[in-house]
Amino acid sequence: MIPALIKKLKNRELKSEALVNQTFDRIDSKDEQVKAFLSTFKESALEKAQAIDAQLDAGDELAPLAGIPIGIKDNIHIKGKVTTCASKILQGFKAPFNATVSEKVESAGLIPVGKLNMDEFAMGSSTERSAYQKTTNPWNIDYVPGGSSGGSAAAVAAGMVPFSLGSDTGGSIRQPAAYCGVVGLKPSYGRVSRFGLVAFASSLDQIGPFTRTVEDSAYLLNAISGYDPKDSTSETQAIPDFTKAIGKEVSGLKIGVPKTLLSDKIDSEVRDSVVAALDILKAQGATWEPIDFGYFDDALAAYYILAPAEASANLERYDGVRYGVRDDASDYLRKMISKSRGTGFGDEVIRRIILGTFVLSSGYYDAYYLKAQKVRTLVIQKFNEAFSNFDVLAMPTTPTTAFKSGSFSEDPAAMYTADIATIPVNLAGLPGISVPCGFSKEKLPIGFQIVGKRFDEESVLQVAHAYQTQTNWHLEEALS
Amino acid sequence: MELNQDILDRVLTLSHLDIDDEKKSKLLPQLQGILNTMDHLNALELDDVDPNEWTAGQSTPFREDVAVDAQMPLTEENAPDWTENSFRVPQILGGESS
Repeated sequence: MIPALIKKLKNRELKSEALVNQTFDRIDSKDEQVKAFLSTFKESALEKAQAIDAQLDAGDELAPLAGIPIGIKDNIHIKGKVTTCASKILQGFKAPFNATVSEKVESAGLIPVGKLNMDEFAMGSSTERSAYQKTTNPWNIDYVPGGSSGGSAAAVAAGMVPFSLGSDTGGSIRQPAAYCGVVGLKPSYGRVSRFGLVAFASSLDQIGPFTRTVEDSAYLLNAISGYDPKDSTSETQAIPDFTKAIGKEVSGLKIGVPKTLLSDKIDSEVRDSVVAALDILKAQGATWEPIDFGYFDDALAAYYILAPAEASANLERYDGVRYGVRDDASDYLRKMISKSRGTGFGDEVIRRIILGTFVLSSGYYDAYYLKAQKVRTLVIQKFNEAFSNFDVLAMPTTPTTAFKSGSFSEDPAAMYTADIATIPVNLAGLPGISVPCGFSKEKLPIGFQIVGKRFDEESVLQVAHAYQTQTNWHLEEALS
Repeated sequence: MELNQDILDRVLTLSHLDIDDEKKSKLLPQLQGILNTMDHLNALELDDVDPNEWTAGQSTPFREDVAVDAQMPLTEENAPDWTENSFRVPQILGGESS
């Protein structure tokens, strides 16, 4: 898609203003059902498009992606625009600075058209935890789009935007990508700057793209990657041209598949689709074999200690003092802070803050937090061991297809198992991509995940693209 | 690990969260359920495992000690209560500890 758009914009077959207008027409016609967008900015988007058109008409050489619209998850700051993180506590908050990723989007000539819905503060797997609206799955609006980047996934799946940015802490790009039948890439930790991404769990968060094709993913990764002195965890790894990985053959590549994720822990339709996908890669000369890789359940438990612990510290800043919603009824500061937080945060955020504070508190730190850090070490070592024998690992992205809205309202923690296949990848800081590989009998998308060594997005993209050259799942569009 | 109301109240104080009793009574069994799912970690052999593998090799990046204009507009616009170049808040002393 991107190469075709770039060509049309360059030879003036298509004007950016027309493309942006088309985008807003699609948003107008589809978003009432999907509810992906929390806010849109048509005026500024059209201004940018007109400026880019003037430059292209004058024959100026612009960045390759200039003039193409993009949606941005609402936990990524765009200066002067509202960032809510889908929380009441940040209602009306205007971002005082651009995220580094937003600067890069601007430098690339991409045109942000709006902010996309999410689970509050990125805590959730269904986008039902947004304080503002529930995004639906464009394939069936009774089902969830996944989360926390549900709006970002749904907007691309419904064809409202060609691509979007989301964030992934435990699967929040890959899981909604699988549920919505689009490509979702979580880069290696440190590949993309987190400056201006509202922090959930600082050792796990990463920004990444949602696209229809793996090739488009490579273009976007080129645009957003790179060392940032404003992010102390940003890595100085050289950025290759990720688009050069597209089209490379996979003959001779070795793929490991964790046995646990081919077991009856996984829905049979998902399992069958993933095995079929692996056989397509085999037909192209790659080999795959099941491997022992324990620790999936342990990684899940460790994540739900570590992530809430980090979140409990990161969310202390929301106190109603300098910004955000304040409970005005309190006469004393301490009460004001506690009341503002108690009413401003939703239930899932409160649950995780309490959990995180508890596991860090005196008397419980060793039993929980320290233990979880050790489990994280075991997970990292297990991946290292696997990668000494295999080039990439592959597995289902999720144990099931999307679930019906409201399925976990009585037992919210039961939703946590939706991320069993994605969480270990975050714990180890590895790159992972979800690629559509089929549909269930109920016409709900299925995704499979390819995971690479740290900073080896190239192998991940190479394998994922090779698969897409042989299949058409990614060409189907919901609500078309 | 058995959670009880006292532990929950203590953690709520540490978290600066004021929630009503109805929410507390809903939360307690939910949190207990989550903690129960972590019990299987006790079966792992972890005595000789380094908890710092993730941070090993990382170092703190430094920069020159030179003041940089942070350029942070919108302070006033985002402030819930802004007066005389300050964030106005209720009094600090007094009131029950929450």
